[in-house]
Amino acid sequence: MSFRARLFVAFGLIALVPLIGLAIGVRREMDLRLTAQYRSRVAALTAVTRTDLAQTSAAVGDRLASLRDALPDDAHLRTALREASERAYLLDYAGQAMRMTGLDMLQVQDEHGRILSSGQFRNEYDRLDPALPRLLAGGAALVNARTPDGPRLVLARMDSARIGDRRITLVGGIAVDSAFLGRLRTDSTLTVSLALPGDSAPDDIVADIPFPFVSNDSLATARFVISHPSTELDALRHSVDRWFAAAVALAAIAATLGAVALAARIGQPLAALAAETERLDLDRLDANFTTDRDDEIGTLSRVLGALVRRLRSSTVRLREAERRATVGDLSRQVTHDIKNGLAPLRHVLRHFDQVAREDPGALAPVFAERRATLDASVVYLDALARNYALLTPRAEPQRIDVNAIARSVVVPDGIILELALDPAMPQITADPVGMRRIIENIASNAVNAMGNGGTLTITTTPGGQLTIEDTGRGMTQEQLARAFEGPGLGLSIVRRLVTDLAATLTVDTAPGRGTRVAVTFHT
Amino acid sequence: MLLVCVLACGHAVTPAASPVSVILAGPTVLADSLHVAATDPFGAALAQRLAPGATVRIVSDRGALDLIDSGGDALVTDWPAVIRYAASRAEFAVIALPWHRQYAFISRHAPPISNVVDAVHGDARPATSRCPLDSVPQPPATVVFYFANDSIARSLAERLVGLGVAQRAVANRYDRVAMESYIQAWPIDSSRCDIGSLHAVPLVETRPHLIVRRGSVGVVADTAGGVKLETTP
Repeated sequence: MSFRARLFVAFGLIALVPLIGLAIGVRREMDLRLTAQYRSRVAALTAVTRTDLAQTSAAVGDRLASLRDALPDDAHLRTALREASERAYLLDYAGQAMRMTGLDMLQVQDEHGRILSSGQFRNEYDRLDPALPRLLAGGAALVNARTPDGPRLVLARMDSARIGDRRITLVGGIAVDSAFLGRLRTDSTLTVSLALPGDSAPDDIVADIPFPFVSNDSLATARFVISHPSTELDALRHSVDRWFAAAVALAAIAATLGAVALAARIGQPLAALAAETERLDLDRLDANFTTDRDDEIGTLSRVLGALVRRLRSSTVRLREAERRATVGDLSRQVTHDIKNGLAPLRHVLRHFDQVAREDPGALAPVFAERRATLDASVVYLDALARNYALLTPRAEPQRIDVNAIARSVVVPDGIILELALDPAMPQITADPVGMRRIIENIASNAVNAMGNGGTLTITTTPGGQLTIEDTGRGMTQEQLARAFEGPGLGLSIVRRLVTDLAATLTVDTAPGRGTRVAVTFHT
Repeated sequence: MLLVCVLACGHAVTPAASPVSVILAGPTVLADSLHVAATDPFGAALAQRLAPGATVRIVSDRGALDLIDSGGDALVTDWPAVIRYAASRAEFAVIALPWHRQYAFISRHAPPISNVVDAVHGDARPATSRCPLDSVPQPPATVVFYFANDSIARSLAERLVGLGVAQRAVANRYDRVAMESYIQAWPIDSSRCDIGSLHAVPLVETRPHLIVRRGSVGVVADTAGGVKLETTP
């Protein structure tokens, strides 16, 4: 995880977790308080609704009482109760009284429960319904009053009057319809409905008021149900949720921006340090880590500066040691090359000395015979000197007759030189000094391996291969490896020169079996 | 069907013989000079028979009261409030016309029905004709329809609900053909016991009243008991 990502997570946790905790806590507290307020309000409204129902019931009772008081004074009604000829008046009486008193139901029964007159249903006269006044004797109840159009639900009460020797029962009520329920609804957020036995109640009931209900000549219980769609409370909760969501989102954005800013503030100096450090190299130790910061980054910069200074000092010492080692190697190589160049001269001079002592007169022909060797050695040494003068030998490729160089090889006494040079050996494009150094080094190593006696065989082939084989002591693989490792040693030099020519070097050797070195040139 | 019934009702009370007695003294006037009205189509047809050539208007109950107050000459109605109001006015004579209309309950069943006369406002008597009735009780009809403008039919339908013969009474204005239980009014002499697959149960018979402004026109009765206004076409 990146430093910036860690910072972001840390900022997020620091900013969001407390905020979310606060949101949950506030919402819970708000919920509790609102619910408590809501319940209190519902309780108050329920009490109001109970009061309204009681008042309505009382109003019905009052209207029936006024009718009860007026009945004995109605002489026409007295006549109608006795004379069939006036029955129309009796049948219409309840309807007119119902309209005058503002009732929605009025039923006049005799002492046997026979309906004498019905306001809401004029033509149900003579029907027996004694149970209704009996059930209403205990107080108001909901009644499904019969009408020609079907039952009509009313809040009914009963009263009775005595006319002469007859007891007249009055059952009256007010319709319980949507208007009635609407009047009970004293709060716009609440809904009042009626649930009769067997009805399914709404889901969002907050209170209910049981009320007697006359059903099938018996008393049951209906309920005035106060329900609340919860839309207001839900809307408030949703609003609070939205605000908290917005706050969390803003906090998240602020945390992100803060993390980015802080990461940039911390990351940029670190990135600068990283870039400066990346420039560091043994050849470039001039990186600048100076700073005036007094924080951890300043400390890190100063530590890196001290490290670079120590590295710079160590590098100087290392280069000095390396230079010294290089000079030593170069010295050994120069010595080796010079010795190789001087060896033919030494042999020729010994030969001259031997001829001068044994046959002075042949000195001139012998000189002429060996002069080429002397000239070649001088040219070799001269070129060697010029190359070393340049420190870096400069290759001057040209077409070289490998056979000619092979014929210039001189071996000491006791060593037999055999040349099997194929005239078809192709000329090789190479530095003549380098080619001579290849052949001289291989031959020198072979002579050294043979000690005081042996045969050195130089062979060339039309395929461009040069082979130098000795009958010396041979080498183990470890000895062979070491022969290639040491700088300035013969085979090490040979391998470098052969590699420069893109040729192939093959060494076949074993202890006691001599060594065969083959160089295959690309023609 | 209603139109046929109306024409038939008018025919039932047409005076068929010469007048033999004066019911209400008054002049003989031109028929089209009279202001004649009725409170329903039955009454309008009857009024047309009482005063041939007169223009008869159909008015509402309130319109009938207004007609009495605003100089109307003759009114045929069965509405008790109007009749009572006219009777209370000395300048008007109220004459009961012969029984001429019968109301029947038409349904798939023919339940026995009684005690319905008091359900009707105005002059009514139990039906004088009889039809075969169900021998076993039948379930009540779901709905009994009645013609919306016929107050007697409505009262009878409601009474059938009160008696438990039907569950609801519903006014119908247009399509009586598709109904299976309804209140039918027809002339007494046109009553039947079967209408297609339905059965009729005669309920009540009614008669209207003739209200005449005294001195505006004479009213006479013929030997057959018929009533006629003394008009000339």
